[in-house]
Amino acid sequence: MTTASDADTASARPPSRLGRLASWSASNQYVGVLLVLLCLVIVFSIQEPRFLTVANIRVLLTGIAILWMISLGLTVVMLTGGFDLSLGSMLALSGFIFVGFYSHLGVPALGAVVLTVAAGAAIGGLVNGFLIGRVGMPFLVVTIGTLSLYQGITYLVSDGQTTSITSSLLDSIGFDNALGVPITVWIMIGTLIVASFVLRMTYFGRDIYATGGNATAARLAGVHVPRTLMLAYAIAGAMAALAGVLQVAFISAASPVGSANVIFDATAAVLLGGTVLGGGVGGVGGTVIGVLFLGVLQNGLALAGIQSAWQQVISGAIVILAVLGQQLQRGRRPGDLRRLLGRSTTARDPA
Amino acid sequence: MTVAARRAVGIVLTLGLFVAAVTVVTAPAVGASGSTEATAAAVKPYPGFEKAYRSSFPIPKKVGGKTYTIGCQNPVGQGNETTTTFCKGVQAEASALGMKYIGLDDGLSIDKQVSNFNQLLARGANAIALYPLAPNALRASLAKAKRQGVAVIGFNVTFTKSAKAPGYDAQIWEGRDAEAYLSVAEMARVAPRGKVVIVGIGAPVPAIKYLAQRYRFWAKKFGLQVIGEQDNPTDDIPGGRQAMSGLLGKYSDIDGVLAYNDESAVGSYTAARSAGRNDIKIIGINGSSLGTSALDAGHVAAIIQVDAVNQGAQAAAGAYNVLTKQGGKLPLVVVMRPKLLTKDNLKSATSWAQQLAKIKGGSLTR
Repeated sequence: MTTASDADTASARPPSRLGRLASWSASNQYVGVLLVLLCLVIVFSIQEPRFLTVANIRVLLTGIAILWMISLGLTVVMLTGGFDLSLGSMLALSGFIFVGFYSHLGVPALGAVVLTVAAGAAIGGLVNGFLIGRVGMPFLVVTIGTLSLYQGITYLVSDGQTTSITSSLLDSIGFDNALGVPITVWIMIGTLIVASFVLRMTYFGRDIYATGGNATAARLAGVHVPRTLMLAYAIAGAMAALAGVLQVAFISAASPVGSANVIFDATAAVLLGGTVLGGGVGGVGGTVIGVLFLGVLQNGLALAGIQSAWQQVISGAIVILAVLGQQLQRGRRPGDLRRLLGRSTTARDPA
Repeated sequence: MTVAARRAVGIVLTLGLFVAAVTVVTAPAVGASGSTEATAAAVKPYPGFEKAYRSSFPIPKKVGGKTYTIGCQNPVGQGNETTTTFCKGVQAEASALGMKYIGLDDGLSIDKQVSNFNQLLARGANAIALYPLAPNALRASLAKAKRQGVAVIGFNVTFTKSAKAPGYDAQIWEGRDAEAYLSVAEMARVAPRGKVVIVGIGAPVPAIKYLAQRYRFWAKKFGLQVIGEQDNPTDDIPGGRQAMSGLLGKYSDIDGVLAYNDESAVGSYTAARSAGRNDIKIIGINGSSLGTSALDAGHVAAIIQVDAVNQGAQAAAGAYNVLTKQGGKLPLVVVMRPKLLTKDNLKSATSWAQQLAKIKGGSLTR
């Protein structure tokens, strides 16, 4: 990505190859994480020859599918300056929405998938999006509420029971290949392409960045902020529903127990990918780097046979270090490190 | 293209193309993997030390007069079907005996468990059934219960050969050693002399760590080779998948998986199948609807079903015995016998829901 400042510099003096690399790196906050990811891949490959086998890569990629979907949805919400804690609950609920369409109403599997994702979008937009975008309630309050609300509804609807689902389409989505690549991975790639296109190439995408960067300025510039927020939460809901459908595809059943940790992993992935909590900065390209980073880390540590408690310690420490490195990369001044270490209280130069 | 048109394109693409992405690629369907085989020979009954203990408290008779109240503390919450079923068993049996029921969720929090216990004492409960998360944390509360004459029945307070549980009137075991035995015996039948891996729990839960030890003990007896062990770090399906991914990457010759719960078994299945290993036999424990649906679909070779309903029912019956002074002094422990479920006997097995209905009809313990 080329920024305006890069363009100005370019007009003054042709930059060196190193200079171009430096400005690309500065405008892509996930470069540091990408480098660490490459290091991890090299280390794990040397340490464990099975790491780079086709079978392991297949397991690794399909294993991060659900995290991928949730993280993409969360990225869109975080770009608006918001957050959605309810995505894990939405994931579990959407499994039973699918059951409702497919098993109870007799909708064909493909139609049920489409309707489930549409229902996820509708719930995300009309509940979280409406309350945050239109009513103006704080996103944390709303999504803590809906986290509990969706979870409770899931338990009531399911009576705490897992429901079996037999569908050849879902079985194919979960485990078959197309052109030698798991269909799940094709879906992951498809969602990434669509999300990138929407965020980069459409006015709606720019509205999302503008809203997250400065909602007041965006409003004055003609952006319909409430509608943008509603749609951002609708996208997150749709992605959580898609993740729910994938979960159903993997286990041939809808389970009321979602993954409580998925939202934490997704948050880590989005932050690693350079999207900031305040909104307006980041993108889905960085997020997928973050998701791959977490996937490789977890897979490599498990492959190395490291005890799960140590896996958690190592994962946590590496994520913190990676984000710290990113902050320093963003600041690129020694004063930032001093400030981070608490040795100086001087405010950072906004320029 | 006008501004409005481009904005509309963005909105439509956002919602429409995410949905369309799902339908971009489809491939011919394949059938479910057939990992379950017909039961050729029945697994021999469990021969270990738990066999020496009784499987039931004396069956109480309903006594008129005073109405008692029993509280059940679900150690996890509504999200855990097995522990929820313990409490449903307590509730059903209590109802059949004319007792009032209070149910509380401890949410896997030791603090909350102690606070809920004290709340039940304050609300005048005559009996409490609970699965202690950290037995020592309850010492003061148990002493208080003793002083108030409240009957306390514990689930799985201890699980080794020691049946003494200070502060409790009695305890109920789910039969950890029998679970390990049945898992291994069935594995030895479907994968004779096979190489197996264990998926254990990441959290420091002594009963599950003990289960892994017993897996190894019985595997040796049955000639199975335990080649690796990996913990499920999050106690859920993704965690089970993560653990199995590591094992699959490390060992190419896995014949079977011994998983400590249904979630780990299902997670192991998804990882194995993603790696193209449909031949691996997987056996899980609990027998919740997740486990039985996986068994029905042929994703796992067997499930060891814990007798969750009876654990709860026995807790209520034991407490009622203490309160009404029936049946003499309770035994220190009763052990519920876990059952081996395979695809062959799944349809004929009594589900937890059917057991609960039986208790409500008054026919399980009387």
